[in-house]
Amino acid sequence: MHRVLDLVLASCPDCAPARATRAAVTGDPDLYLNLLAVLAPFLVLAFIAGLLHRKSFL
Amino acid sequence: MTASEPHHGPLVAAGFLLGVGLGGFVDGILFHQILQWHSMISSKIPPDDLVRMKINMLWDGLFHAFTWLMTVAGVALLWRAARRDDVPWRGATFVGAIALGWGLFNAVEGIIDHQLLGIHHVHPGAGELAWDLGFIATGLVLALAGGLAIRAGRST
Repeated sequence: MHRVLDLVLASCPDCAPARATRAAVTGDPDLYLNLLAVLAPFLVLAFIAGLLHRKSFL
Repeated sequence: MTASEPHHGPLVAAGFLLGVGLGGFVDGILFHQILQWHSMISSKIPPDDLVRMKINMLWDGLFHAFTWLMTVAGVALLWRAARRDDVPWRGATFVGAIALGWGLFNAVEGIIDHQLLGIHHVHPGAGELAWDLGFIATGLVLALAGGLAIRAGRST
């Protein structure tokens, strides 16, 4: 995650907003909780899609 | 299972994932970008300055990335389903599956992100809960309509 952030922000490494964003996000204790929150609905729905593919319940 | 036995699952799963992807893109494009009612973690980090907006944009970007992956997976499953002789090719099944995926996306995302985790709400402020519950309810109605369409497709 941090490596991706570094790549994204590399286009403007010295901009104050970029530095502040990197500090804020990498210093965010909820980083992985946020990642789980964004990912969780998709995991649930992908699981449902797998069930539908194996056997249509409808 | 005989070779001639119809197998609806692959087309339903393909439409379902495409519905999830399309529903996610509508959410992101309409609510996050055009209307700007919320961003992905706007209830935790309100985007009230450039830095906080950039943080929300990062999480919005990840949301769109996962949405894109769902869409690609849907297209891949649709491609595979189209090459199988045992998959009935019916519009009602496919459109119903898209509606089912879209509706369940709204319901599941609404329950997890809005109600359980509270990382953002549909329309923060006055009437916040009503907007959130309305979002989930419309999703369930759309999913129910999709399920009925799939059933109709099976019986034709």
